[in-house]
Amino acid sequence: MAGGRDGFLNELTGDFVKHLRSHSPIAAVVGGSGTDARIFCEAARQGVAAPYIVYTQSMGNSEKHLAGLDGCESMVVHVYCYAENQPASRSLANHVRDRMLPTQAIVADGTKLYVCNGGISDTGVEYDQASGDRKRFWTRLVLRMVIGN
Amino acid sequence: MCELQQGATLTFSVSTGTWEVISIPRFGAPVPVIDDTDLQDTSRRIKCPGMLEDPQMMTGIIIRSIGTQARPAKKVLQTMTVTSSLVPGNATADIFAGSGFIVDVREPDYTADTEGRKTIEIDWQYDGKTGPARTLATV
Repeated sequence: MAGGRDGFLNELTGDFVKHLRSHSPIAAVVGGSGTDARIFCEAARQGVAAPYIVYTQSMGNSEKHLAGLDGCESMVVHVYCYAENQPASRSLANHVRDRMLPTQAIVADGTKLYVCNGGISDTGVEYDQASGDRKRFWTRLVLRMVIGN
Repeated sequence: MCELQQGATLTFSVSTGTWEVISIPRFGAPVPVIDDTDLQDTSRRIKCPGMLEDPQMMTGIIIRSIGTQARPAKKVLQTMTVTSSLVPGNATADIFAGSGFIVDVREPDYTADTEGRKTIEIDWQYDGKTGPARTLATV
């Protein structure tokens, strides 16, 4: 699927992931600015090395006036920034925040990102599936966005 | 049967435009309450209704602010028509309309860190010359 509004959250070609990858501080951490960057929708690739990013939409809304839709949609996206230690995880989350929050622009292939608000919500840790004695720390950003065509 | 708020439209006869209306406040036109107490009344004061309705100002009609669209004009005598949403199965919706003028148009407010839409607020005064009156829905 191409980018644009319908494919905004697409893992490889979505405007959201393209917007993250094109930010050099993020690209430097997740392995580049191309489709091989370690940024995933819903679940990480099996066996992937940290640091990496996983994002998922948690809720959304289409706002109406009395006679119809206003053409935009609101969404809340949770962005989990994984790293092998907490400071690195938080640093990656701050890079994502710094990339997204100032945005009020047409991003990547044409999605209009009207506004993005939010910030770091919480943190946690998981044990590596392949090697149970290793931890992976995550920092979660909760981003509230309004997008449109 | 239920009748909902969503789906209503609001138009001005002179300040034309596709207004994206968020909310329309209630309109009321109360009649005066006249005291009719005289010296013979011993239990309570006596009231009677005045004959003339007094159209109250509709304060805060909330409309989306659209950057390419002019604001509706103040002071211009025109008709405001509020058409309810068409109830499924009915032929026509009920309509409330009358002549009057816009008293004020308040510009948007701005707040950081929200996804709130820009809106303007309009105050409307029915002048009482033509309506306001309802046209009932038909089935």
